[in-house]
Amino acid sequence: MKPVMIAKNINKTFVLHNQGAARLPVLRQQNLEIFAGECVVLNGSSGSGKSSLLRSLYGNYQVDEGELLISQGEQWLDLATAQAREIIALRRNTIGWVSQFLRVIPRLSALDIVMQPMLENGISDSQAKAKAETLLSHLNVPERLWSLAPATFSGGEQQRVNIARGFALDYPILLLDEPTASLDKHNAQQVVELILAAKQRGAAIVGIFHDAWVRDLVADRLHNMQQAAQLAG
Amino acid sequence: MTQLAKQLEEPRANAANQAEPALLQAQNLSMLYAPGKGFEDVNLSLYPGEVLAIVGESGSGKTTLLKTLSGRLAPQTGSISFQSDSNTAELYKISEAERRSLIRQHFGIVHQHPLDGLRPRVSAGGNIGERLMENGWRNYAEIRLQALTWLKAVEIDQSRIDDMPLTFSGGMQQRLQIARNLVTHPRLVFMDEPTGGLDVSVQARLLDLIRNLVTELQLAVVIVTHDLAVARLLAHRIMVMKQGQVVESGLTDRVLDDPSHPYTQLLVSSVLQQ
Ligand SMILES: Nc1ncnc2c1ncn2[C@@H]1O[C@H](COP(=O)(O)OP(=O)(O)O)[C@@H](O)[C@H]1O
Ligand SMILES: Nc1ncnc2c1ncn2[C@@H]1O[C@H](COP(=O)(O)OP(=O)(O)O)[C@@H](O)[C@H]1O
Ligand SMILES: [Mg+2]
Ligand SMILES: [Mg+2]
Repeated sequence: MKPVMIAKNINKTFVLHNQGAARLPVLRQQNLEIFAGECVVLNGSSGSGKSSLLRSLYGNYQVDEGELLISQGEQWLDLATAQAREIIALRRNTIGWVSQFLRVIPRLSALDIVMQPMLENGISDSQAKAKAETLLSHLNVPERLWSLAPATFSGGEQQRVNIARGFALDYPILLLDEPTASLDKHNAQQVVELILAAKQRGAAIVGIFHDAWVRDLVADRLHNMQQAAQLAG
Repeated sequence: MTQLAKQLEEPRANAANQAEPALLQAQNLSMLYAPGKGFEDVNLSLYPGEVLAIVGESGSGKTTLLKTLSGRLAPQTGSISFQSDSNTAELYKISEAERRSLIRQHFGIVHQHPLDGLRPRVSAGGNIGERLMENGWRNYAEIRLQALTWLKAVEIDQSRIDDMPLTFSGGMQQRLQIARNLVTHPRLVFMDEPTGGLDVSVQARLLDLIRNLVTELQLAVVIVTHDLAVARLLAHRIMVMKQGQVVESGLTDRVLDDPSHPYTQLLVSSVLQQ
C-alpha cells in the first residue's frame, strides 16, 4: 500500500522581521508518511511545532524546504510548491482540517457553517442539512443554538461546531489540532467515536491530542517532534 | 522510507484543471507616476471564479493597478491578456473602441465612491437598465423586470425603482452600483474599496451580500482593500503592495497566518487579534 501523504525533509524557521529579525527554527528535517485508515499522533511538548507541522500539511504555513506530497490517483501533488487554486481544490474535497479554534465566516449560523463544505461539493440542501443535524446532535450542540452564529457560543460549543464541520465530508485526509481540548469527557468521547468511524472508512488522520486517554484510544502510532531545545541548538 | 524514491518517479498532478485557461493574465506590468508612485513589474493570472485581493497601505498603488487591469489606464510597460470564450484579447493592443466594447460586455467595475459609478440623475431602475441597453437589450418590459429582480438581489426595496440614487443612503448607493454592474453577468468584476466609506454595520451587510453574489455567480473578482478582514472574508488569494511593489502574494490564509515579508508581518501584527 502506498501512503496518501508524505512529508519529506521538511524545514521551517520563522523569521520575525519586526522583532530584530529573531529566528525561530520550528521544524527540522521532519519526515512523515501517512496511510489510509490510520491515525498518526504528533507527540511533543508545547512549542515543539506540532501545530506548525499540521498547518503546513494543510498549506496554511509555507515550509522553507522539503516536499509535502499528496497522493492524487497515480500522481503526486506537492503542497509546498502548489498554486493557491490547487490547494483550494484539495481543501474542498481531499483534506479536512479541524483547527484549534473556530474561525469561520462571521454571521453564518452554526447549521450553515456545518452544511457549507457539503454544499460546496454539490450535495443537496436537504442531504447536507440532515447530515449537519446528525453531527450537531451527536456532539450535543443544543438545538436552540443551530440557527445562531457561533460568535457568542462558549468555547466548547464553538469547538463542537468546528468538529461537526470537519467531519461533514468523508475527506480522505483529516488534520485535527487538539479537537478535544475544550471538551468535557463525554463530548470528547463523542469525538473519539467520530475519529474511529473515519479511520474505519479509510481516512488517513494526523492529530494532536492533549489528553493521554484520547490519544490512547485513537492513535495507531506516534510521530515524535523534536524538543524545542534541540531545535534551537 | 525505502519506497519513497520509487513513488516519487510518478508524475506530479495538478489538482486544479490544467486545461482551463486564465481569464486575465498580466505580465511585467508597470505604471509609475514618479518613483514608488504607481506600480512596478506586476505579474498575475486570474482564473474563472477566483477572488484576488490587493492589499496595502494608502498610496501603495492599488487603485492605479486596478485601473490598468480593468482597461482604464494604459501601462508604461507590459501586457494584459483577457480570455473570453475562445478569443484572447490584448487589452492595450486592441483599439480604444474594441476595448470599450470588451469592458462593457465582460467587466464590471465597482468604484469606491458609488456616485462615480452611477448616474445620479437617472432613476435606480434606469441605472440598472442602461447597462442592459448598452448590451443590446431593447424590450422595455423585460429591462424593467430585470431591474426589479436586481434591486431585490441587492436588498433594495423594489418600490424605490423610480427614485434617484441621490436620495439613497451610502450603503444603498453602493448596492445599486453593484446591481448595475452585475446585471449583464460579467465574467470579471473589479472593486475598489467597495465598503470603504461606509459605517461598520453597513459594511458588514454589504460584505455578506458581495460574498453571496460572488459565490452564487461564480464571479472572478479583483478587489482592492486596505482592510485585511475584508480580504480574509472574500479572497482566495492576496497580493500585498508597498510603494508600488508586490512584496508578497499567495493563498489568503497562508499570507495572513504565516506572513514572510517584513511589511506583511507589520500589516498583520497591526490588526487586533480577532
Ligand atoms: N505564525 C507564526 N509566526 C511566528 N511564530 C510562530 C507562528 N506559529 C507558531 N510559531 C512559533 O513556533 C513555535 C511552535 O509553535 P506550535 O507549532 O504552535 O507548537 P505546538 O503546537 O507544538 O505547541 C512556537 O514557538 C510558536 O510561538
Ligand atoms: N493621476 C495621478 N497623477 C500623479 N500621481 C498619481 C496619480 N494617481 C495616483 N498618483 C499617485 O500614485 C500613488 C499611488 O496611488 P493609488 O494607486 O491611488 O494608491 P492606493 O489606491 O493604494 O491608495 C500615490 O502616491 C498617488 O499620489
Ligand atoms: Mg499547538
Ligand atoms: Mg485607492
